[in-house]
Amino acid sequence: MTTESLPQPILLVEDSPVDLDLTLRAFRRRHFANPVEVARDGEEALAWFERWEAGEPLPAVILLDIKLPRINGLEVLRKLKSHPRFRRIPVVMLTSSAENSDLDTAYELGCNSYIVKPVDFAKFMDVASQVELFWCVLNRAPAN
Amino acid sequence: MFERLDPSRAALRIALLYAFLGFVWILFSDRFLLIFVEGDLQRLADLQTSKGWVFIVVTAAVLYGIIRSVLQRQANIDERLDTLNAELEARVEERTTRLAEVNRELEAFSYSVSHDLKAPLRGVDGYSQLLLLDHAHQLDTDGRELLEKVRAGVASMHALIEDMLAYSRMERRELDTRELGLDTLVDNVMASQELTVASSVDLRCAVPPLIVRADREGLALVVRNLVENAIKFSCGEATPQVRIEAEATDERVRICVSDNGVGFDMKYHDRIFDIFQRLHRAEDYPGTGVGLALVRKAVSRMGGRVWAESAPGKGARFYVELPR
Repeated sequence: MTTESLPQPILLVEDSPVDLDLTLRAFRRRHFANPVEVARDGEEALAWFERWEAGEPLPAVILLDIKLPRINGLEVLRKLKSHPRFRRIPVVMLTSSAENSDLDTAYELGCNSYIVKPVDFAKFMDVASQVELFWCVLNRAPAN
Repeated sequence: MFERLDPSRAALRIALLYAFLGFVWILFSDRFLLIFVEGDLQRLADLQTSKGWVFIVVTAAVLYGIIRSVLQRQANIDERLDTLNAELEARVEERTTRLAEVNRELEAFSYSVSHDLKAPLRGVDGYSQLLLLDHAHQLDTDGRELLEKVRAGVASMHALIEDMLAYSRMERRELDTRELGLDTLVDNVMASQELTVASSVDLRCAVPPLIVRADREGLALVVRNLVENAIKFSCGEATPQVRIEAEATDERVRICVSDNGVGFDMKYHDRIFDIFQRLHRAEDYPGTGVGLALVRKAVSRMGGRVWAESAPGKGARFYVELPR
């Protein structure tokens, strides 16, 4: 099997067990082809740097929450976007915060999209499927 | 410690002192001098010259003393004022720092509300919806109705959190006040997706091209909330009518949003703008009780005022006045 035939994974960085479970369920209901990797806090997210260096496939997109234990999502974003190689990975902020300050900071740090998690689960599923469709199917990312 | 000089009293004192000196001087007048000169006019003239010099020296010394004392006193008062001003500035700075701290705490609070309250709510909504989607066949009608009630509860809780966040944001966000075209702004609000207008509503907009000084986001929120409010309280009528009008006076622009809905008793005209105050039952007219409070907050932050006129069953007219 060649690496081209494998769909790229999605890295989901989410600390809330409820949000994590709902996101995974939303993905499953939409029959996603892409495997989903999970990091439960900022440190776990940054630990993926070493795994990618070691040859694990880069994700098609990173779904990044902002309020995370230990290292918050904006700090993870800053480190990622200042990395010479991994800064090309698309990052979608998927957060409860609709604060303008978070939105501004996230875009200043180079996020590719900012989505406020809807409370309504039907809308949440729409978000999940549109994120998958756009970033994993339609979007063409440069080869790393 | 340092008394302020009463200008009239000080001037009177100086005048009295001068009069006293003059009186003393007169005692040493020409006649008095004549006793010593024994008719020698040359000696009298010399004595008068000396007397003149002595007068000038004495007057100069007295004036010096008085002016010095007055200026010294003034300098002391200025110094004290400077100290008081510095203390006042330090106190203002201290309070500003404290206010900034409280503001940061409030921001942290609202951040926490937005994140930590919405996450479990998403759980309740998500799992109840999954239950309906995947296990509805195992539930009887009553069970499904109960689940729908859970979801309705989530929706109203969510609306309340969003409105509270909007209120708190309106309180602390920095306004970008500038001259805006009112007609364009109202048109944009009418066209925006955030405003849902049922086809049964007769909504007419008659806003002339007026310039108003306001914050774009704040004014859009005011117009949207007032129109939504008018639609909500007139939806029970056969033909709900909502009108948006505006006119300008010399210094102000007045916007009026009126409807032909249920209206309200004027004894509540102030209370309707208070947060969480409602005049109707939630099942009759759903809402969080934040919308009009948000309108008043936005209008007052933009330097304007809002008021309403109504009578039960006669519709309502909401007025907003803003600077031009």
